Amino acid sequence: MTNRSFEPGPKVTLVPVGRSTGIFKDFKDMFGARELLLALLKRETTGRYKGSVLGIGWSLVRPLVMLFIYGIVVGQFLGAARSIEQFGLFIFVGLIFWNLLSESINSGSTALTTNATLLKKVWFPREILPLTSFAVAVVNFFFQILVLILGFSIYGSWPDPENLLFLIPIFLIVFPVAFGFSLLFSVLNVRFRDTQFIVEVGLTLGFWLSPILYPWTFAHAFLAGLPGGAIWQQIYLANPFGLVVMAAQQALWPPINTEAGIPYQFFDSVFSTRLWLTVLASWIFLFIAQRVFARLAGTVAAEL
Amino acid sequence: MSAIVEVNDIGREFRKYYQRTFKEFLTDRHAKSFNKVFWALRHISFDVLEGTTVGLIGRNGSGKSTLLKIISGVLTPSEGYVTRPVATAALLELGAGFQPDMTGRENIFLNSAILGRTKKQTQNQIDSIIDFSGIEEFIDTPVKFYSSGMYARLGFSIAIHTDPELMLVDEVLSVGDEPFQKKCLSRIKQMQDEGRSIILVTHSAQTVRDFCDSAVLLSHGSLLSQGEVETVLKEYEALP
Repeated sequence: MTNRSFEPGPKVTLVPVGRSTGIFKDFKDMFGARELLLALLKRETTGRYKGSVLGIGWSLVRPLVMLFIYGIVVGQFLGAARSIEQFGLFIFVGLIFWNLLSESINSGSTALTTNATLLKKVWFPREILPLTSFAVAVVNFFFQILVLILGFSIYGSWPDPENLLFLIPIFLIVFPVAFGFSLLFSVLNVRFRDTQFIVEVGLTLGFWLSPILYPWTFAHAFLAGLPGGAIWQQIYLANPFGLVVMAAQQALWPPINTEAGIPYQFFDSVFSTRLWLTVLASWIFLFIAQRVFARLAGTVAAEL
Repeated sequence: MSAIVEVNDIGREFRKYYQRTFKEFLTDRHAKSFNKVFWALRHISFDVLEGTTVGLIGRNGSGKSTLLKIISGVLTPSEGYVTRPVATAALLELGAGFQPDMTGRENIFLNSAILGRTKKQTQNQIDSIIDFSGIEEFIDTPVKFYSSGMYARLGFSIAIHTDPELMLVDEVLSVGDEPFQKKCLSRIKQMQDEGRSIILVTHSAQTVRDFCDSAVLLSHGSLLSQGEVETVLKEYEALP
């Protein structure tokens, strides 16, 4: 047309289900939709607490209540605080990383079903919805980090700066595990509504199977007493959620390098090998989860 | 003139019955109901030439809306492929994704982002979007207090401000009161003059005569005829 008043842009080719255009293109599309991610993040954070006095401060209430209850019940009533120094910091360090993973997976698994109206009417990279769940959990995580820093100053003890290096493998595990499970569960939940309930039960189980309220050595010692103990120990330590929690304690629990912390330290060499193997496995898992998502996401609008 | 949209041998099947729970999945796997499929569309091919408007006509259940959803990308085809510009605005469901608790202004930013616009692009057009919607007074009110007309007006205004190369229009012109409808129609004319392409789904022969350069007739999921408007309309009117 001669009277065109705009520049022609790029084109897109829409293909049948299962003939996806490849993981790199999918991630490129996700990157292209980063403005949408920010807008949805804003909706889920500031938008969600509209009209409440505390506002986004509400996202802090639940972890603080958890900290308080576990600190009193497990720490004082059951006496765990007597054997673990700075027990409040110990459980809070584990809790905030657990919350990051569980919040993001929990809301991620319903990310597609709760946005059904949107998915049925507008096209955009579908991965953005589970990714938004992760981003929301990260925002809440940062608020909890601020509380943790407050905790450090109350106890007057700070983590060894060298230990903070552990945060690198931690985040290299947290992102693919949280996003991968969100992708997988969100798309499965469209077909099987049982998924979201199974996820809830699984996360409750995972909470107690991860050494958040107790040091991992307690579980390790108990499992050694079972028949085939070494195998159970290996299974216990293979849990990526638990590993993230343990690594977080190595990184952020101040007494870890003192005499009081020695029983809870990880065997150095085995620990780093395990950690980096888990990093590798997590990224492979994310790759597989994305492929499954890409295959099934095309049918989502018809099934919602 | 080159084709801006290529619809190539598109087919879309639906299962008559979708399993929902693990139980049904496990027990009904081999039941007949599981495999029953029907084709809502089959062997649909046509091109939209750059800067033209194509009318998609057919009776209820002919597959028009399904086809429009496939072109928009909301539904995936079962076979064939569609090539279309990235900058496509679907006026299918106006205001889809509006957040009830957020104000009109906040929803403009959210909705534009859903439609693929950057914050900056929206900022540059915000006055024009608000102006066209005609609800300046209520733009900082949460949209849950809007009437359905206001809702649709804001949605329409956002959609036409996305600078689309292609617009997909599905009978939404019946929203709002008469002055607003006129405003929408004249805006669509203006967008045609700007060289933007349009696919328009309608039952109305008159709408096709008023707006379209060519037409495509669907019946029971197949393409009956396509081409010059009057020829296609004659077949449409001859349909039982």
